[in-house]
Amino acid sequence: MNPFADVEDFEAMRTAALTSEAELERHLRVRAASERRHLQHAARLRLSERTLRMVRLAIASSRAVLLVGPPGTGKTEILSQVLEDIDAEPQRFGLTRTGVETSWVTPEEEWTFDSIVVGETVSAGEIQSVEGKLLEAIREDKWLVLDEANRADMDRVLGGVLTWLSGKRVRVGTWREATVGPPRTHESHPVYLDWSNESASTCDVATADGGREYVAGADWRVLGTYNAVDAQRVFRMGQALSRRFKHVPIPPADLGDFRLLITDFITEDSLRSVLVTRISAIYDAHLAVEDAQLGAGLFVDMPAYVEAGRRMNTYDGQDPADFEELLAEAYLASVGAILARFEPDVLLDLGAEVVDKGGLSGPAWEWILSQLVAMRA
Amino acid sequence: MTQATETGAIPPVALAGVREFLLAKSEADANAAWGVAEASLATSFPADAWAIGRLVQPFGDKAALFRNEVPPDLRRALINVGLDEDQYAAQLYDIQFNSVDIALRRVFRGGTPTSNRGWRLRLIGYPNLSTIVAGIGSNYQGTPSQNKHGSASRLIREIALRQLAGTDLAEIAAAYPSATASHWDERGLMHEPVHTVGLLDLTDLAPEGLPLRVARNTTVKKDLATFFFICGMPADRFAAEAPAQVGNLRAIAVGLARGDVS
Repeated sequence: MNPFADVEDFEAMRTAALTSEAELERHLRVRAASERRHLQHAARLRLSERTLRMVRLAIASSRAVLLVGPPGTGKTEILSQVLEDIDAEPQRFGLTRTGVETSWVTPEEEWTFDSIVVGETVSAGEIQSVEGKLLEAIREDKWLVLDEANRADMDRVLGGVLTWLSGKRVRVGTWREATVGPPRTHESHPVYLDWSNESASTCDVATADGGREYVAGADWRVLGTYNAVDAQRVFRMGQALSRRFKHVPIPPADLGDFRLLITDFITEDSLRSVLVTRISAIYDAHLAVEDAQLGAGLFVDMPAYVEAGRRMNTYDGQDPADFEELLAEAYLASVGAILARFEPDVLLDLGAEVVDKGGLSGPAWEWILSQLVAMRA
Repeated sequence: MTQATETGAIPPVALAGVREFLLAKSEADANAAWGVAEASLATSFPADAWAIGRLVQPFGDKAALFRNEVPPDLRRALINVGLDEDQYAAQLYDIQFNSVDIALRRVFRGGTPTSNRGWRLRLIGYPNLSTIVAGIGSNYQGTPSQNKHGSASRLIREIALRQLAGTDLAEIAAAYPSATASHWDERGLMHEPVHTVGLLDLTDLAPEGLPLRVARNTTVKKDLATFFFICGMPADRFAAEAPAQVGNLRAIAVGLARGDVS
């Protein structure tokens, strides 16, 4: 944080300094924490120009796009940023619409076809159809974003619209609604999904053949993020559905970029060199084991943990906490939940790399392993 | 007197006409000197990156200085030689100070600095004491207490040195203290004793030298207290010392704002 680079930041610092030295220190701590959060966001956006181009072009040229990569690579943030770019200049991306609105949803394990297309509810004692997330998004002409699509069984959720995703009109279900009586009756209408060459999406609730039609426009998109190493749940996507989406890989940052990145998250000058060296070594170990690769965003909070540990002991008038212990704890707190899901052979390879590269000592790695048991509960 | 850094010597700043402006004894003299001074400063502080402003500040009530600011011992001595407050005031030039503010545009949103926010490089001349101040200071919004401003400036200086740590400028900046009462009240800005205030030669009455307070009001106290890097120099050393000093301060300002500004 540089309070001299911006007049408002400077004035906030000056006001704190006018109050007292203690208030100034508190102000600087709060700003440092805020800066870390900002940098964490920026960290996730640090990706190669080529990867960024792939994301943009995939969305510009395809109806359905998935960003795929390990956790911590900033897939959600990247997608969010690109969508903002598209909304600002849609013509640059080949769209004729004036802006882009999005409907973000996070799929849940219990999701079914009903959740995304057409479901049912009971209203005034009568069965009534309700739009799923997909139909709602088309009717509102909002792009549908499935964030962390791996959390639901997308084959089950989207299996019924595979043909539509290929560009064809398809009947996806029946719309049931009770009419206003007396006498009360029930009506059923077929529900169709289709595509149009027009820019905007439309919804016709009373077509000539008595159906209900949702037509996605040429500028409409369904997007998603997907990671195969989720700590809690992963549903693999089947080939039939997978090939309806363009996949853009979002790889972890390389070691050089990571070293630059992690430096920004270190505030204690006396710890800068050792934290950069050790945390980078741990990150490098993950890069070296294919099934253990993780994004930089998962590691950036480690310096703050170590610094807080050292500071707290000093505040309490105690000797500085053991650096090696704090580093191992920071690693466990940041990445442990994911480590706990790794296969034993992956953990074995990862542990050898972490120790060989000097990230952690052998005993520290053994301690990490001992703690993972609780994380698997 | 240029300072060497790992990346090369810090270039001195061209200051032709600046001394004449800072020590002008009347508004007319100050206005007449400004053209040359401004043109000279613009060569080292180009307008696309820096905003240069000036202020010519006359005294409001010169007689009040005798009552409120001249130290009691000195006041008694002046009275003993037959000087009263009106006679004291008559011996002072009309101008209390002339100042130049030079702000980095990139620090200010929209690129337009305002005097009551942020920080800037500053030059102030006190013609009655032939003394010039150079430094980097903020502003005195927020409290009328010069002591609180001084405390804040001390803390801001520490933050500034932390910001410059690891650069060539850290050692250079460390040589400039923040303002204290010695600067805004006493002789902290004077390398050597100053015995003349305005037209009055007080060598016999104040052999140790005159404090700044004999020719400044309370607003100047607050103003000086906002300097977190400060140095003083006498008029006759300006030509020799100021180009390098201002060059250092310019480099420190650029370093603080973390920009490569020509």
